Amino acid sequence: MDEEQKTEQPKIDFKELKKGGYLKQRQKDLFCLRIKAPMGMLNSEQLTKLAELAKTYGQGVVHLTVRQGAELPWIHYDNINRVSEELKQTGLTMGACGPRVRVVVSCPGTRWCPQGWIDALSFAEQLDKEFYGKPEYDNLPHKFKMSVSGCMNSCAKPQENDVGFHGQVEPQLTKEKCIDCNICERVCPTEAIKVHPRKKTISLDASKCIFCGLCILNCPGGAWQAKQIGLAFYAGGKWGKFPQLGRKAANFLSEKQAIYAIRKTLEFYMKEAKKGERLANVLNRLGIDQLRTQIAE
Amino acid sequence: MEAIKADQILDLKGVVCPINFVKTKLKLEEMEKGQVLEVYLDDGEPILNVPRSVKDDGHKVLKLVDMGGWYRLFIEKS
Repeated sequence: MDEEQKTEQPKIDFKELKKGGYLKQRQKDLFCLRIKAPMGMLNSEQLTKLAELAKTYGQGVVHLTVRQGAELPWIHYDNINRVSEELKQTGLTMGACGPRVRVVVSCPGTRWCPQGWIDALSFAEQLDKEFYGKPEYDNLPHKFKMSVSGCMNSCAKPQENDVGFHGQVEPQLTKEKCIDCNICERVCPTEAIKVHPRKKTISLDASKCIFCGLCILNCPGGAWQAKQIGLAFYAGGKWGKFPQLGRKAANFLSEKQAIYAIRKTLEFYMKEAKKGERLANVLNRLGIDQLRTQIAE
Repeated sequence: MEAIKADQILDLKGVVCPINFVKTKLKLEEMEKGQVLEVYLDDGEPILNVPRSVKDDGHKVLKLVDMGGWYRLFIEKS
């Protein structure tokens, strides 16, 4: 009788569980619930709920993941559904594992960081809506990660992701507004700006400018202004056992162009990658120019 | 370079971020509108942070003078 009951019990579909962000722990029957906190944002109600659930069903701890998620470890599988339901009540859903588009990572950008050039959070939110949990990107050759940084400081590490973006800005000078303070020359990290005190002129070597925008941010008189602001696009970054940085695939994309570029990159990846191969390795094999051509179309 | 006359001088060499900015801010609060504060700053991070923070607070940065390893920053209180 006992034997029969055992065989009748539904098997746990680990693949399905993993897709939904339920990670089997090394301890028997225990799971770690990976919760999606888009761009690392959780409201106070959600944080309170997480704390409650950790106390009631776990061991009173929440683990913050590298990709800005929150994990509830030590949940017995008997309680998984109950915990998931309670999470849903506060608008929290499960994160992703496996070969699919993962949760988008983002820095605060212009929302509150003094350095940002783009509203990284709202752009990341758009990417989340466009690409996360979509059936067409649910069975990729391998995982596919995205990240957005407000500026070139790259705090959200866009170059470590399959596709990544950072804000960039092209400066231009209005000479009449220049008060001859010398700050721009000092803050420029590539010595692209030269102040010529005798001639009272400033020159910008366009070939040296990396579009970081420090001259604009620091200029007290508003003489340096943004000529254009856009997104630098990197492709083929990864971490893991053989890390490598993504390569620059395009400059000064608009948000719309950037979303198009990701679609094209995903198409390219699904077409060209062998099973289990990351975008980085595809680009190593075929060269990034193939991807650049596809995006440029 | 035209000479700028400072009403007050604050030596912040050896003072790290963001303490150097906070000290600058407090000093400016004591001063009258239109007065000039001269601040001595180390090269490196202070130069990338203090002038911009002063600007963001609405004061007018007048001049940065390279003294070789450190800088003189002139600020007009707004």
